[in-house]
Amino acid sequence: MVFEMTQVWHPLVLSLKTLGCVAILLVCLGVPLAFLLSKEDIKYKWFFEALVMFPLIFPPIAIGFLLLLLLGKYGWIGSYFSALGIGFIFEFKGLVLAGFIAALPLMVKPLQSAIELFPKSIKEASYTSGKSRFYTFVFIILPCIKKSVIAALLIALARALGEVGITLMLGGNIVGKTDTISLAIYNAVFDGEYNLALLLCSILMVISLSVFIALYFFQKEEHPF
Amino acid sequence: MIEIEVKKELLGSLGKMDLDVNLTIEAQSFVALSGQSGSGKTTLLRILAGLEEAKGRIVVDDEVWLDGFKALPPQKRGIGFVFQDYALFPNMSILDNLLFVRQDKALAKELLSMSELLELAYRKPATLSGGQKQRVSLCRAMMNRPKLLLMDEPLSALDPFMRNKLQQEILSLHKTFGTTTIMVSHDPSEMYRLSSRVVLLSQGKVVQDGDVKSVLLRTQGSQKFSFEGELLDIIKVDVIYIAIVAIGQQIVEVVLDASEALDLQVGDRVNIGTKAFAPILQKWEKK
Repeated sequence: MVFEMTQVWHPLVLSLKTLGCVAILLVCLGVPLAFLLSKEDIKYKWFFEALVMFPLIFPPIAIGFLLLLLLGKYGWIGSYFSALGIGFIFEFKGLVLAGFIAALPLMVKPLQSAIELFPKSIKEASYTSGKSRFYTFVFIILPCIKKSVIAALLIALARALGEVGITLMLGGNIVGKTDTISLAIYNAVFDGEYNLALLLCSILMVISLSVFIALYFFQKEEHPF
Repeated sequence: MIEIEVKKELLGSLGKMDLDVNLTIEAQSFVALSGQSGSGKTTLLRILAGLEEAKGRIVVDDEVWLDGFKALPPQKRGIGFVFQDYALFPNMSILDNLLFVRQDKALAKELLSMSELLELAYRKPATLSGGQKQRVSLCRAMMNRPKLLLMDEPLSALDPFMRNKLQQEILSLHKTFGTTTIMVSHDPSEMYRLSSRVVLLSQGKVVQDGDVKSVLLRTQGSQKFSFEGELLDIIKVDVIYIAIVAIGQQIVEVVLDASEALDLQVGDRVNIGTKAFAPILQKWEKK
């Protein structure tokens, strides 16, 4: 069986591009979200926690469908965006959103507990030194838990890389446009191109293995307090 | 001058209790806060720092820190707090720990050299010994030239030698900067050396308040040589009894007659006293 190299590198590049955007979103939104959720006195904490955890416990394909309804051209939220000329469905943006939503709980939850478990007296030492909660978070807590941040980011990105359900619904699995590497394997198998599927699998294996090795180093004991 | 009037319901070891403290503290004084664990000492200290909520009124040099439930956040109180577990910032060097509070390199270096820590300025806290860490913590607390220095059993995790050394340092810092200081402590010798006033708390209330001698010297009647201890054992030898008593870190033997031994039980808190006509004081180790 013969296949063209574009069938390999296109999904690969698409997936890496998606992962890059997801990583930026996770750092920019996931880290502050974990900080907010680690507050003890936040109102409706259970609700926001449940919302973040939702993609972990609810089947991805069903989430994809609900998002499709919400973000579609005539959807509840999508109609506002489409008025601004922004569409998510069958677009690269849809892939990023799918990966982000799937990865968010795996980023936020471990970070939230790392922040909550951070020694109270060190935080209080910073407060009594005149520093705000946010300043303390950025200059004390975050540098101390940076290994946990990187580990959580890696696990979350691994989840985003393997994301199929939401991606399928939002991206539409359009070959050459929205077929990420995981979907490309499905397509290859569907078309009987087992060699292509195997090659894509081995690429994923190399990526996963590197993530695994990286995790091993980052999950080692953090600062002794 | 600091006026403290705080009320808070606490969950102590004996169930609910009310912390209800009224104190006036002179500027530049050194007050020791003592009492059994669970008596509310640490909570009072944390309320003063703004780390815990309470009802009442705290006024420091005409600045209102607490009025009813309205509290000034800890960031705005201008205090120094020394924690029992040091609480140094692990990601920063010793010097940066100090500079984090205030960008004043001259003061930081002065404090570090007073505590003989200048050599360690660029080391991370994890590489320091307990005594060194607590000195850094003390220096850090002094960095924003606090109006009030609060110390929560700062020396309790250190060995006696280190404790002694740090007591000297705390004293010299207090003399240099004249900071009003409140320290939670259990150690009578520490309180004697450092403080000018001892406040004894029990079940959330002030039960004794006065100068060090009047609170700490436990003399009764005409006895002038008196120690509190725990009865560890009573051994009968022929017609007499020998009581083994632990006083602080020491164990002593005292001879009792049968009538004295009768109502004593192992585990009792006891007082050993004698009229101190001519006790012999001998040096056994040089300082």
